[in-house]
Amino acid sequence: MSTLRKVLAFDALDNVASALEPLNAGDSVEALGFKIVVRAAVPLGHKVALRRIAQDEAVIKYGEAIGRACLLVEEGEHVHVHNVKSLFDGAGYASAGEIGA
Amino acid sequence: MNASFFGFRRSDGEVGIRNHIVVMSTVTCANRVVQRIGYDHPDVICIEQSAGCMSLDDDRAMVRDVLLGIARNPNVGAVCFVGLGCEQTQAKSLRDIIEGSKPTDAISIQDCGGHDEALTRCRAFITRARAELAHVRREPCPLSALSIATKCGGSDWTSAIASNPAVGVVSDRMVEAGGISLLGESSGWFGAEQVLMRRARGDTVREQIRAILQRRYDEAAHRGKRIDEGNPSPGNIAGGLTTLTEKALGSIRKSGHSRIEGILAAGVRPPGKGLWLLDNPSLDPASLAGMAAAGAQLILFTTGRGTPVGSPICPVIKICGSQEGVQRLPGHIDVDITDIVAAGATIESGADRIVQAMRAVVAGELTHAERLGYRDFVMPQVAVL
Repeated sequence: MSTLRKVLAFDALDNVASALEPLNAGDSVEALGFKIVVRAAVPLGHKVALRRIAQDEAVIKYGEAIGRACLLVEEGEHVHVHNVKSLFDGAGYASAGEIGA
Repeated sequence: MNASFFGFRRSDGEVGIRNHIVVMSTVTCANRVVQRIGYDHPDVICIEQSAGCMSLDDDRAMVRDVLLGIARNPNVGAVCFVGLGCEQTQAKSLRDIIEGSKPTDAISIQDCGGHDEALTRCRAFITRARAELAHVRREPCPLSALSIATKCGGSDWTSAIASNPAVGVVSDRMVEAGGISLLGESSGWFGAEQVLMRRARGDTVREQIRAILQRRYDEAAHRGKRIDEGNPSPGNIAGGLTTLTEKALGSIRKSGHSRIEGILAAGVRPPGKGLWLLDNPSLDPASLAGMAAAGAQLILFTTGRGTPVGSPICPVIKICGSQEGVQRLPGHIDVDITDIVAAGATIESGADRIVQAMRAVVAGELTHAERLGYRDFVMPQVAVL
């Protein structure tokens, strides 16, 4: 399997890549010129950090911010609901007297 | 992409890739007549209604717009409207609008004397339509006469990674060729609204996108719900989706990177070429109905888990990037692009295979949904997600 791509990233700005097969700690993967070692298991279809992402820094996939790191994320770490917060809070839609106040 | 294809040219200059005879009820009360015609004439496209009367103004307008949009769809060669007689959405008024552009008729059960008489008149219409359509031949048409819509359903983790991006490449190619591409399912745009607004043609379109999402957001709020409540779903999260924005971005990949020309209500045709957003529901058959009503001749449908759904009017090409999906439902998948995930194939190569399948389907090859007779139809409603 070593000749096959194990992760896929979409845009030069991305700081995460999606696992095309289950990744184990110690696996080497490569995307966008980043060569990293996976720190802990990443399930199929989940994301791995291509580089260190500081707390509050944007998590970027498809070249867009999909959320914000709520903890420091090390290179090679599993990136998911435990260390990412959504940017969507409905604030842009909340009218006066409506929800979200 | 080839510069041309062979299609059925209509008197209004539009081009169909199918030459359907359609019999549709304009109200639930006429459904049994239409159903009987469907049993007796399986090649005639029969569409029954879940609405057509007792609706409030906005839904009444939508029923009318969607029925007219479907009647006008260039895949429809002839259309007969069947009504009861006292309903809100009058068959005769729809026929009067279509008259002159293609063979059409309106039948009222109350006026013609009941079920059996309505059937007799339907059959007479079908005989006349067959005779008229027998003269219509496929002729070379420019690719710019094609309008496609993109849709996803039964998605899994491969949809956002493989099939949606590949369909996005095809959508961009259609737009470059001077055709139309439609992206529906507005409730799936929450979280990616900034990206869509950035891609919009100008401030007016940006404001229209914002206003439509605001309306859907407020409707949920009036029911005490938040759009991001339980979304992404537990199943999405187990599959690796972390946030609503990630989910929305994966979904709108089907529209590629082209500029967004405008946003349309269900039943409204795009007034120009290029990529357009459709404000229509997410339930698959209702979404497909909105796309057919907006004039799409063909639908590119990505799936991961697989789904049999089809449209009475448009061939629906199922595209799957999941080996599990293809293995589970091989008789429902038209384009297998599993090698993007499994063997390092490029998104572009997936797009090439989708275009190849489109060429065959445009030329008349049946999709699995057509072969199986999946003619699902649900009337879009104003107040649903």
